[in-house]
Amino acid sequence: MAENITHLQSPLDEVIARAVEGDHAAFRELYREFVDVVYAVVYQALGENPDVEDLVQKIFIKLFREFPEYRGEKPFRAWLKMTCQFVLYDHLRNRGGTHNDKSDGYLSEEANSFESDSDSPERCFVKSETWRLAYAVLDKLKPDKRMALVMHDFEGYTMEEVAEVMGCSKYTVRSRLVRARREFAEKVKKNKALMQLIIRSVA
Amino acid sequence: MNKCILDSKDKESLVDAFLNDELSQAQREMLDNHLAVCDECAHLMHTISTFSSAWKENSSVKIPDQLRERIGDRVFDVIENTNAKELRIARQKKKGKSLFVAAGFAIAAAIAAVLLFPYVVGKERPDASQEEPGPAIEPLSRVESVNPKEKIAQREERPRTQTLIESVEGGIVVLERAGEKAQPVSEGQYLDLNSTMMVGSDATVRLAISDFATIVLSDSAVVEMIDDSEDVGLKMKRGTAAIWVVHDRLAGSFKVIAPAGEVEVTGTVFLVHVSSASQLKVAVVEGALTVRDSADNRNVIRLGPSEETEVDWSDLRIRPIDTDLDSIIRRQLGLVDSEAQDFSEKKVVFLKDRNGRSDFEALFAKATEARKAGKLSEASHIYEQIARGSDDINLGSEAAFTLGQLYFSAGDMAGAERTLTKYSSLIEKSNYRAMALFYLAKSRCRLGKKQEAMAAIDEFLETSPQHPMASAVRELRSQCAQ
Repeated sequence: MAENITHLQSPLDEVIARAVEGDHAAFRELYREFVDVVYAVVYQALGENPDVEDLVQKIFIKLFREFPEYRGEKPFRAWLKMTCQFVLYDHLRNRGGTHNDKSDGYLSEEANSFESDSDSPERCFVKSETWRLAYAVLDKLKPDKRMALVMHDFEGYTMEEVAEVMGCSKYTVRSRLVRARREFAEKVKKNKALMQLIIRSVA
Repeated sequence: MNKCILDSKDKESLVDAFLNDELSQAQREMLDNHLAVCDECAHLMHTISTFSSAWKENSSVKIPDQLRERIGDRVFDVIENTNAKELRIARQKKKGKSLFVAAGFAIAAAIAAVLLFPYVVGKERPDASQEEPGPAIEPLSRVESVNPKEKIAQREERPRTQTLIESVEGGIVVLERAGEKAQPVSEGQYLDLNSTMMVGSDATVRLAISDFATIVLSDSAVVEMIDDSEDVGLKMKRGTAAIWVVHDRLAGSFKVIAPAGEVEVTGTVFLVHVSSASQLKVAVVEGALTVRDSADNRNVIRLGPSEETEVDWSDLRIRPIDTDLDSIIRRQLGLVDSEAQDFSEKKVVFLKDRNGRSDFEALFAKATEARKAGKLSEASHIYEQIARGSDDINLGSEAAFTLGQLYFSAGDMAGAERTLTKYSSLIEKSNYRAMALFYLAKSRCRLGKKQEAMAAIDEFLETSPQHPMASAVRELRSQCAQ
């Protein structure tokens, strides 16, 4: 199997090749190396959400099972991130309905994720609250629109990559994007608290 | 508030083109000018751009240590346990298998091989000049040994979206629904369309799709069901599937989509083995398959009953598998196209050497071409000529059966009945007997000749009770009896 994989040069590539062949120790190494990447992708896609933990777990189990299909056509990190997007898309489609109901209009008193050292507590609060409200707006978009908007406009994937994940043509992605952008912008506009926060965060 | 001065279509295309990074410098200036006076577009641009930059800034989140440990423990627990379970079952199977059981298994496999692949045990191939067969599909005997024919008869009518897991044998089969953890499946459970089924290395699972198809999966198969308004079938990532389809009860086509292309059934019984992303093998037991590669090139694989071939997608475009007799002979003789000078002579010698049925075999190829070209009248005339004149039972019966099928598909029930009755003595000596009886019964049923239809049904069930179409025939009997 490993000899079929191209682009394998670094020690990490050797670990990947061993993991592809079913070496559990190598897979543990990969978990340690890439769990932050997977977590960041999932966390960023869903925000503070109880499903994040389950989805990270699911992605690694899926990864272990689908490893034999990895042939090194694209760099491992990119392949892994795409795998995350497939799982996220399935998740969004299957959870149904809106996810976060406590979204509209008011600043949360619970928001306290002051994680950035460089920002003042007030700025951190504003950031955290902005994201909380933004995710609430994203939650109101249909999965197809949300996925197209986040993957293409926010994450920077190409239309072809988005189409691959969503199992449709890039023309479909294009039209979904047009509608998603307008719907998102309109919902943001209606959410006065979020609008204020955006203004404050960029000020 | 300033109103957008562009119409909605232009507004969309200009802002979106910018966000899609598709604007020329001139268009960019035009957009800038527009944004200065249009609040709506400015808000749209500002919102998307702000979130886009903020998203990227916010991408370096680190997983909390506790969570890292907790998820890691659970992931490795699932992985180790799944493998341990599978290994344990495999070991138990090997250990517990007595010589008697092993011998029984071998006999069953041998019987199945004789029934399905007669040429393996020395019987002449129905069409020896066909495409050279590729390597055999290795897990075939295992799939055959769990032939689900008896089960089909007991099946109840259900909506086609409900795929029932009829049985799970010999290992772990896991169903993974999107957004949920993978769970082992058991008999009687339904397979959702949005789920992926993973068959353990030693496991075999049998699925029933409504009343028209049965699928047996093995060899670590990973599949998803397809069922939309147009297609029903399987998306196969790897493994082996043996598929029985009652084709005329299926509204659309039955498809098997492998990573590099599609197999579309026009026959009733076939096997697919996906060995890699670019290659799969098919074995047609009855009928023919249409194969489409990723570039949408289309080829029909028409194998006689019990032949098999390998489909190499990368090769398919270069050397299409065809049914043209001249090409087949050229290939058999190792000739290239340019060596056409004395080809006719070589062809005659070749065919005479084979079995002396050169004329009819050439005619059959001509009829097939005519049929493919939609010249049904010409095709039916030639098939009739072959059925009447050929001494070769295989060729004659295939022509007679194909002719009956041709009438049936064209909606000419009287023609189908006439043909299949007329050539019944020829067909009954061949592998087409059961299918011919099926079409005969159906055409009679549609003509309102219930008594005659029942006679064909009884003959079918008496001579081929284990045939994959037996359930369809039993159902036809209950319809006729009403």
